[in-house]
Amino acid sequence: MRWLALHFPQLQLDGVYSTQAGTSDKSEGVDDNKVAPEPLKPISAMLVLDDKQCVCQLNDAADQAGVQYGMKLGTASALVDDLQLFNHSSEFEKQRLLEIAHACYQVSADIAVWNSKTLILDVAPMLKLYGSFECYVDALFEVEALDDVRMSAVIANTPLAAYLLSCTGDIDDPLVEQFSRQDVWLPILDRLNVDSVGIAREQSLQLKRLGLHYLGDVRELIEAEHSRKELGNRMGKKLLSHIAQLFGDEVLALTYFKPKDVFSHSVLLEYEVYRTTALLFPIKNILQVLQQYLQRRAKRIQTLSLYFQQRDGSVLSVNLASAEPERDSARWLNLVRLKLESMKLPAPVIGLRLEAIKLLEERVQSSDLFDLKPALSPGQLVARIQAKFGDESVKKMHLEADHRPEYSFRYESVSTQPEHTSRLNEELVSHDSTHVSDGECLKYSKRSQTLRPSLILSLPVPLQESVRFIHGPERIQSAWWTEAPVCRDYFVARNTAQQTLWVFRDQAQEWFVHGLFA
Amino acid sequence: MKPYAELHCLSNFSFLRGASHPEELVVRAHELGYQALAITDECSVAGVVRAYSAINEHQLSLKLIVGTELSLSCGQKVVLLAPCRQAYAEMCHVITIGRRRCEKGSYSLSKEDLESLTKGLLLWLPSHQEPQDAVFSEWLATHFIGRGWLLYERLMTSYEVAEGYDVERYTERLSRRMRFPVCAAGNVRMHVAERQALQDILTAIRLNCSVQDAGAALLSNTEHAMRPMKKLAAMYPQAWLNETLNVASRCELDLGTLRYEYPRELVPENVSPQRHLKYLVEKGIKIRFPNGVSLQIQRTIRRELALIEEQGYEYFFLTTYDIVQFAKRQDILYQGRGSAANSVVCYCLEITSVDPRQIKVLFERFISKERNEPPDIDVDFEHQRREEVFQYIYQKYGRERAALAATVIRFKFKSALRSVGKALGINESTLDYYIKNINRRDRELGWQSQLSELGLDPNSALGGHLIRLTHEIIGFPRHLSQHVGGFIISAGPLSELVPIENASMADRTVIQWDKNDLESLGLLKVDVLALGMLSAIRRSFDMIQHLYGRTLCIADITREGDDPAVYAQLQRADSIGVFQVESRAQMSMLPRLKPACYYDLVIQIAIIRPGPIQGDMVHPYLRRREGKEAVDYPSPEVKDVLERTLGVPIFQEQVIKLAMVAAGFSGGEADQLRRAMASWNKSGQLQKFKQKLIVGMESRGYDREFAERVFQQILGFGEYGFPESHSASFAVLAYVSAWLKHYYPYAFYCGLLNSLPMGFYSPSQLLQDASRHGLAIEAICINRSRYDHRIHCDNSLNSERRIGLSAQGTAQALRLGFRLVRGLSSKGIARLLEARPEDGFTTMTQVQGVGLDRRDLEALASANAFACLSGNRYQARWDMLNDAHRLPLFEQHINEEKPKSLRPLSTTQLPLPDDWDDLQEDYAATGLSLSHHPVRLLRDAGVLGPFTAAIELMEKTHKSIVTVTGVVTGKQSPGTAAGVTFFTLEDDTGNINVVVWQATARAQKQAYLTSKILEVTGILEKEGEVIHVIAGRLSDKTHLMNKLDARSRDFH
Repeated sequence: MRWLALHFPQLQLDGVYSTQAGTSDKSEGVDDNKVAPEPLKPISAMLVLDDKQCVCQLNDAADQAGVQYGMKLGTASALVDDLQLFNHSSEFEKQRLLEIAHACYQVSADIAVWNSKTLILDVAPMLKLYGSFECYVDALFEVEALDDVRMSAVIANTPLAAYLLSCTGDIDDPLVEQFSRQDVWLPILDRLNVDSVGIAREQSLQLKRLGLHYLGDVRELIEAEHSRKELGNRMGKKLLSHIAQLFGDEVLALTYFKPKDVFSHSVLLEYEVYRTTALLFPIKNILQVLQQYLQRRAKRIQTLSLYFQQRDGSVLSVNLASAEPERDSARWLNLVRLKLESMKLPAPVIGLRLEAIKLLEERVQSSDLFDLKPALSPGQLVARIQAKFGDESVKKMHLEADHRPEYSFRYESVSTQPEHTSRLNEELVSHDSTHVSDGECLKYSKRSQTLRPSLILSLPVPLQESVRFIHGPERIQSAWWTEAPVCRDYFVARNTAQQTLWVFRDQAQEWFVHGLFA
Repeated sequence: MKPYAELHCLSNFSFLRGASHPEELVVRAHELGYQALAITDECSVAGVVRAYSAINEHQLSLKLIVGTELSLSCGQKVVLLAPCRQAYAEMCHVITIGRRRCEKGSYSLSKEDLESLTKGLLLWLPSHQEPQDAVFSEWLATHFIGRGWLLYERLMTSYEVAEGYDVERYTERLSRRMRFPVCAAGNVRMHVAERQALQDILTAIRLNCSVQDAGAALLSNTEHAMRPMKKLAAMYPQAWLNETLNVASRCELDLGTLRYEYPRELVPENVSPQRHLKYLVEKGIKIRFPNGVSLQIQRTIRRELALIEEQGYEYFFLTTYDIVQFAKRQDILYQGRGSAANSVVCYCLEITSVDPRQIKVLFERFISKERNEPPDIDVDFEHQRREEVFQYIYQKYGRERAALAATVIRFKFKSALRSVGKALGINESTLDYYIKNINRRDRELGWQSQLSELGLDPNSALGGHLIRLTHEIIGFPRHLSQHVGGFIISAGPLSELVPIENASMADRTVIQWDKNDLESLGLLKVDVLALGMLSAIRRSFDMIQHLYGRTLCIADITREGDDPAVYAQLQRADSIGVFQVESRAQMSMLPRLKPACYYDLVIQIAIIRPGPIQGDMVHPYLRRREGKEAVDYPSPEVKDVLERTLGVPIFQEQVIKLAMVAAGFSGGEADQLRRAMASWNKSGQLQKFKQKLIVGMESRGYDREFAERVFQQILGFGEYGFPESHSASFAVLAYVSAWLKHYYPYAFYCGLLNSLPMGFYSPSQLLQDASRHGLAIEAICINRSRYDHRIHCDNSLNSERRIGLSAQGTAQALRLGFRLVRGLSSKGIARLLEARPEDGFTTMTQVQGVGLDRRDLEALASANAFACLSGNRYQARWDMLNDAHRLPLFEQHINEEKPKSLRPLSTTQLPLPDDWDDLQEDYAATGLSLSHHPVRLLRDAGVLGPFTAAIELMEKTHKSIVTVTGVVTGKQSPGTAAGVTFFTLEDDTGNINVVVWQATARAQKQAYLTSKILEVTGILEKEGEVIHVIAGRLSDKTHLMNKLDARSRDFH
């Protein structure tokens, strides 16, 4: 058996979509074929930081400036002037790796997800199919998903050995077939520091403090049976078993990846994106990948979902549906653009994912609105209605904890996915008393229901009749951090027609009607 | 306009709730014409003294009322006001109860707790939950008849105007039913409406979210600001506004009348404190001046005693006396310092050891009537034994009567930027990036400009908010912490004077006031501080007594007078380990200043401080001392102030005095200046004095440039004030430690090493210094070491080491102790020492039988403590890893002399460590190596280019080009030296001082920032005995260490 390890050391950084070229305002024509020109200026140094604020991934620019793995952010930022920072997201890497596994599955059958950065492929069964190792590797490297990621690929006769060798990064020609020969890879393994042989840190530390700094030291030691036993007594059987698996004396069972019939592709954005138009460039790229994916499978899709990862950690989801099952990326892009044009981003976007769950066979009859199958879920129903009438026509209402009346609720597009946005706001609305120690706020939120009119006008209209005040004023002066701060005195008033109105006076002493009490 | 008194107002001492400083609140209340203002922080009186001081300072005609807002466990909120001293005591007591029940920062009170209040006034803010209000109103009507009110606060929020509900009428109804009058209030949280943004930010910080997410928790408008009376008149019924004045008129408490009563038990019955103090001083004279006391000193003592009596400070001296006497009985070394400490009285009371005959010039400057300073005595104790002193105080006076003063922890730049940024929704790595890249010491570029250089657009809305709000929040109190050692002790329960709350440390309580508050109210505290050097000195004294039979104390050494040999050693900058003068900057100044007497040392210690450095006073002083510049004085008054420092102001007191005699400051103004230096808003407060100082000095004929420098010096003192009295006390310890280093080097190093962590240097650096002084040092050994390092006399030792000859003529050595071994538990050490046979262990198995933890055994093996039993530390660790000996079968063999009955430990042979392995293991196990130095190993391996060793630098000529190589052991960029970084490189022969200029550092960032082993080529600067290398080329040699690794070899 021969095993091929594909190791992706910088999965997150490689997933950063360079928006530098795409964000310039001039490039309007997105649907042209050459929308995203190559980045013009050199890419700035980019770092991914782990939870201890140490560098765990870096690009070439950062490397040239002398940044090293494990360096503290403080040192790194002193070395480089212009720095883009990302917090490590293992979620993202996991997602990306699955996407890559998915793509490789087209050419290789047995793929195991080793960890969040590595895939292990069983080569032996594929040799029959491809005839030779070279042909197999050629086919594998044709897979487009492997184009834009940094990768080291090593073949060895145990999965563990392949994995460890792929991590070392200093092997000249890792794919030569003779690598399956022990005399080629054994010396390399022997020179591995015990820190990097995949054992717990305490164990490798212990080994070093016994003078066993390299895997070769350990291997030589346990060649003698009694020493092997003594090492087992001291360090545990697990270590021996690990080494046995490494050298093939013990077989390691792998769980193979089973692909789902789902398309998913994620990218991280280099900069925070504030305008929806800037999102079209990365989306266009993904749609092209999607098109190829569908072509290969002879499938079409009728719905797809976009997930925008926002800076505050929440995810904004957008669902799209086309009237007909569709594969063409340009058409989908059109739909996306229409959709995004009318959308405002509540927070800057730092990453996005495109997902198509339902892959339809090439020939699917399009059904009309009334041809509803009984099994249709509400979500599907909504999607269907949206597909017919455009999703702008279908909305749901969402309450917000905002002092400004016009922001205290909003209509939002209906998504079949659960909403993640403004989770905290919801908590504050529903269980205010637990979070807030101020009595005032408590009272405010408990009573707030009774004071707001049942109809709030989306745009206040000037008050043009004489009214009699019943209650008031309530002063609302808030949201200084937004673009729409307010400062108004609200009154409950009755007009001559005995309608109860909610009116306010703004700072310019002008009067407006903002709502009607039922 | 009708008058008004605000009775419900939170300052920012209701942490993260109030958005204005107490000072701002009183000034604003006065501007608005309020008659009175109650500061009613939540379950706290922490902010009230600031308000009191601000009223006095600005001479405002505003009545200050002390109160507190309490949220009770039944859900009701009340405001308590203290109309008189007794009510105040009761209120403090209730706050104490509520606070002591809960963890630091929170409190819990039920309405029953309030029943103990017999005098306090209570204002109730109803919950507007009818049934609960009914119950509470009944309870109130029983307990607060004639001193209860209903609060009506109109804040224009939604609930006040909700349909079918009217707060005003509801309050009126309750009032009629309860027969409690209604009183208007504003629920003030900020002094002006413009603080709303900061108020929202504080709320977001409190809820740990961003303002965007804080939603309804934010205030909906700015009505919580202080409002003009015209507006109040329009919003409230007049009668309710009038009622505020009724309430205020009943409040007669004046904080200024709070008096501190000293513990009476310190004075025998029927004796006045004056007489008792005099008696103790006379007793002390016999100890301190066994041969009689001169007339002059007698006169000083009389004058000091008269002054103490006049100011009523007897108990303060008696309290301090009692504490140091305890320390003396327990054999805990101590030393007093501070303005009052340097008096003959304190010398006689054995509070200090500064002998007046030797340094008479110091006296009389410290206790002074004209300066309205309370006396200040800080007593330093051995750092590892200070807790005993704390416990003595608690035990003697009880926790009700003794507590630590608080320290107000405030938002500083970093915490401010981080908190405000988070609250504005900026992600944390961006904030981290900003914080790490802002150099707060950059005097040319403020942090605001630096932020925009880092990519924040100051003109964007977000950038503007971040900068403005960060600026605004800096200085805001964040929470109370405990003062390092400021005790307040009283005759009666302390909680009647000020509330006491729990500190975060277990078994510690703090009062709600900090030392400035205490000072403002004229209350005295005793500072019980910890000092590592005292521990070291005491240990050295003990060893000297034990080894050489000589009993020493600090006063004995100072009494002998200035010893030229000790000063010669200091002049050579041979001061590693010497108190206060061991830093890099001090060491480079020693050969220039050449201290030759005690007072020189006092100056030496004070001159390398932010004050004199920022005022650029160091070089003028040096020039004058070297006689290169004439010493002259513009006037006799100035001569009086500056004569002892050659006309250059060095000490904080001199600068303040200078402001009086040279710039015409009144005594009061000088006092304000002194307080401004200690306040949180230093630069803001100090700027106020700039104009006056400079104009004042110019008009009296001083150079403008000199005046500017004096002001810069004042700013420097603001950062770190250093009065002469502190320097005088520190100089005693500096001298004593230098004396020990000279005469008893073994005891000196050993005492120091056993007192770590303290000072500037690691054990490794201290031991290298010791061995350069010719001391013999012996490695950790399973059979010979103890827990502590010790001096070990042995006739068999090489007697050629002359320095090692002890009084008995035997050679000595310093045996390292087990305390150095990393990961070795103290329990393990105790066990080992207990089980160790008289003549030591003979086999490894025997050691295993002791029953130590496996981790302990491994740690000992790696530290090479088994070297006498096993030649290979790897093998020893391997053997110790074996669990077989733990089987019960073997336990009986432990003490039996037949180890051969045991199985051999192991048949496996592990590799023998080479020099590089040994070095690594030495560092990993103990943090130092006696046998190897990385630079030495690299040089021997031939991987380094040619370079000059540290020891050879002396022979090089000034301005010659040299290359040096060493381990980077120190890297400092002091704020007082713009753009310069001082590197300390260490090779196997000594330390090298390297100066790296900013441009050099910038051009070679990587080597500058990350090198562990650094090669520097540069120009040698030699000034007398001071040697620096001014760096030109830096090259990182860290990677060469990999080359030493012999086993990175091919395995085949």
